[in-house]
Amino acid sequence: MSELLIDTITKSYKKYKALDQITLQISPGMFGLLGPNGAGKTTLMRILTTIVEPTAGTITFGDVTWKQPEAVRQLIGYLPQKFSLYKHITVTEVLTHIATMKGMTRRKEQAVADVLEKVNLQDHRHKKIKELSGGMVRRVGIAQAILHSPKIIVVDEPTAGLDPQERIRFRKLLRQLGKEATVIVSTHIVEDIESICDTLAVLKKGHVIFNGSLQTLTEMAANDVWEMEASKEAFFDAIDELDIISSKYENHRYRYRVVSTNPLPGAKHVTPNLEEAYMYLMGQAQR
Amino acid sequence: MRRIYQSLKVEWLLVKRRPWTWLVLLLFISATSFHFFLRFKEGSVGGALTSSAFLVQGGLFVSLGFGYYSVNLEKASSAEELFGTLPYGKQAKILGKLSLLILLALFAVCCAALLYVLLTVMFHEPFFYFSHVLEYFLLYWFLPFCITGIIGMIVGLVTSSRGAYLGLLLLGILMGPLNMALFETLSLWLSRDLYPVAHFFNVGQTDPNTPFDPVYGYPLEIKRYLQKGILLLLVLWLLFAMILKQQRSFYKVFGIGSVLFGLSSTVLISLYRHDDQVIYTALEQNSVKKYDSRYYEKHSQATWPTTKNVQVTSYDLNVTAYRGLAVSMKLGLRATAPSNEVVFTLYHDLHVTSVKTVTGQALSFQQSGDQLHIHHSLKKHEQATLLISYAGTSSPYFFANEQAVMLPSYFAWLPSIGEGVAMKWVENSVRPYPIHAQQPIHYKVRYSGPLPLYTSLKKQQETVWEGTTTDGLTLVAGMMKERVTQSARIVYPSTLSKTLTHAEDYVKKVKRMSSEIRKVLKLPTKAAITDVYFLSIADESPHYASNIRFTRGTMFVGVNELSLYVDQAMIPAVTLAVIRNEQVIKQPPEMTDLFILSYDYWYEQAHPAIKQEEKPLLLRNLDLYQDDPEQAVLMKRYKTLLAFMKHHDNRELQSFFRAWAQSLRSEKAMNDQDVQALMNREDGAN
Repeated sequence: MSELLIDTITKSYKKYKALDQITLQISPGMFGLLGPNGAGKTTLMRILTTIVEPTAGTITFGDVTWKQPEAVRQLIGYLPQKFSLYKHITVTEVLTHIATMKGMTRRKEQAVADVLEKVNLQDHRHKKIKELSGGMVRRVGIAQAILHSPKIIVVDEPTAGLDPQERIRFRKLLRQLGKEATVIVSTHIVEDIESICDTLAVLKKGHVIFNGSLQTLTEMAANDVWEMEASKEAFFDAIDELDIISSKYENHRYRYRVVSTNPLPGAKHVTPNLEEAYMYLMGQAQR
Repeated sequence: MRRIYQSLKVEWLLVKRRPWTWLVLLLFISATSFHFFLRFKEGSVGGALTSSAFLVQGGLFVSLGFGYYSVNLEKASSAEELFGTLPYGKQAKILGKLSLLILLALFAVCCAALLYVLLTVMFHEPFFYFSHVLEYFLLYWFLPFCITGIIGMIVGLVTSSRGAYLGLLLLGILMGPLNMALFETLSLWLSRDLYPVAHFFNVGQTDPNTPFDPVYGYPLEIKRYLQKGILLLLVLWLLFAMILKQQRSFYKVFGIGSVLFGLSSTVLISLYRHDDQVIYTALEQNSVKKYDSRYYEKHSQATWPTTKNVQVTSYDLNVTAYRGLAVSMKLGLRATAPSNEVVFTLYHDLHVTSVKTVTGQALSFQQSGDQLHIHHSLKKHEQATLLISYAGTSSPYFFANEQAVMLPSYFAWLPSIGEGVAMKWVENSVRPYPIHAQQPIHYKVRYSGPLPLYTSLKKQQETVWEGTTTDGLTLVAGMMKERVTQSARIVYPSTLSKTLTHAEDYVKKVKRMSSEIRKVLKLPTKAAITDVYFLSIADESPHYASNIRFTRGTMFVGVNELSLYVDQAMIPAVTLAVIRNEQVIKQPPEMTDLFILSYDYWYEQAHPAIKQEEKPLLLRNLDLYQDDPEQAVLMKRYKTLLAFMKHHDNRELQSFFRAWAQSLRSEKAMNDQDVQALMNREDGAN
């Protein structure tokens, strides 16, 4: 299966550079795109989905180049963040409509039935969109994205607004898609990436500040994540001084984890999780 | 195509499932049914459509709103980005929406047309002009709904802010019949005639108060199609440019499209700018009511003296009525005395392009006002043939274009030896002089224009008519029919088939009354009326019915869709028709009007059998204006005349009116003293 090659992509809006010479090589499987607001994730997604044209640089996937947007659109399945579609038509009607719009002519009904089964919405196929829960609408969203078995699936903030149960179910669904396609998940929720992605890129202010596996990222922060314990008063005093990533209140004391390049008195090294590694990376990038 | 069709299907599903859709449809059908029903009930079948401006205006607002709503549907449902990532997704969606807009507009028009058909059947109205009805629906309902719907879509593609609603409201006003009110105010404010601008942007009816003209029919001139064509082309191009913008090859396609758009719009605009006859009924300078009135207010005098020693003997004409009037002719002349020039009367907007002798020698000519001056020497009794060509727009009162022709013989549409001025301005209206010759003239007409054509000449071939007549040449074509009765051949508007069932009775009454009046006034007996034309000719006086005109053997009756043929109203109309000659028209109008009203009063008193639906006009005017200081002089005249009439018997009054009519028909302009002198004479005689 081909790789998605993003080569020195730049996108400028007048003097402002939303993306500055981004280069990424994305292999089939689950790929995460992580970054704070304004990092350029959305711009990159919009370029990948051909909604926006880059100012410079090239993108290719096998023989297909992004200079041929109509060809690219045949390759791509896209689930936008605020997906809801028309509220007054049924799930089957929506999917059949999108299937036709994607140029599917044969076995359209079968394809719709298959994706409904994949996203576990067979029992809701005659319901109107307005009658579905938020999680179900997201599943309809992913169903429409995979209708034509695209080679690249782009998913924007997939779990935003979902309850924990739906979120877990949706992550599982995405995971399954990664078996057969390149799935790019753009999010600012680190947990999503940690749960489903194999590799990721971290963007900040239009630049790639990390590109690699999750393990590599966590290893980068291996020596700089600490765990400490303090009384309630001491903990609140420390909040302003330290980069506290998480905390737990147990037996009238706080146990908390901190990212710091300097050893801290009374602190012990712990193995960092992705969120801590991401915070470490952001801190490093700031310096 | 499949994508567009699928998109259309989904758009339809969405629209269908919205309660608003059915509510709007219900409102539309109810309002249309109610409006049509009322109009049919009062007998105004044609007016049912021409007075539908408010329905069209409502439809324009709905179309604008629908167009805007439809393109914003994806924004509202956050699906816009998604469709942007599908192959030709946005384009297919927009084209699907456009298709739905067209289908909905068609559906609305079909509903309205069906209602019209149902009412036509219900009220036993004739069906034969239904193609015009459909054309009207196309031009004033369907195309406007499509154009404004597309504009709504464009607005929706440009912005989805709340300000857009205000923009849509303003656009709805600018592009509909409501803009007439807006531009009327602006025209007054800026002292400029902005109606042409209003007409261009108004895709609905140009005059919401347009009465239906039963001869002219619906205003379906080519120019109106061209106007809509230009606007449709423009909005389609804007819409497609916005769709194309989504594509990478935008600039290339945009360039080619712009060239095509530029070429086609240039063709349409040049055709639109072509000088042609469009009948406007609102208050603009070139409207029916204003155009001639304004002209003859300023042009009351002839430039050259009338030719008296030359007679026209024949006209061999090629007449084309298409976007205006074009005539080429061989005109036969005979000189009764030596002459170096021939002066014809010809309506000023008919521009002569060439005058030649039969040998092809070009003759010098000049046109000034309603006169055509040709330098050509003729010896006594010499006969000559001139080849004359001219073209242009006829008077808005007497139209000739691709849609209808109404050229009565007394109007100067043919070069005739006559007054030198075609009409006289009287109180913001005009009175046409009787222009046609009184002697027999041979006519041959080859005609190209709307059919069927009605004329007093005999039809020789499909498009050729020929004959000799002393009545001048009348051409009438359009939505007309004829009925040959025992007393005369009656030509009348097809739309009035039902209301004119008593036409024969009416003609008989007019003949009887005119003969009676002639007898009383001792005017020469008239030749038998053989042709009667019921036409949409205007009343010549705002004060009384003046819708009847005679030539030697022809009678013209002015009608409109709601004409009521009340005997009482017939008296002033027939009286004026009987006494009218060019001198009567030249008389101060107040003198003629005073005669007509006085005679009307006396006639009603002398004929108690006439059903009096109202008081005689003279008494009605007296009731109305007796306290008006501005009308004091007029009221004094009325009172003096009433007192005089009360103190004289019928024989004396007949003598008085006879003398008065003769004075009016003489060259000397009458005044109050002359009327008083006539009264004194009658008093003295007794």
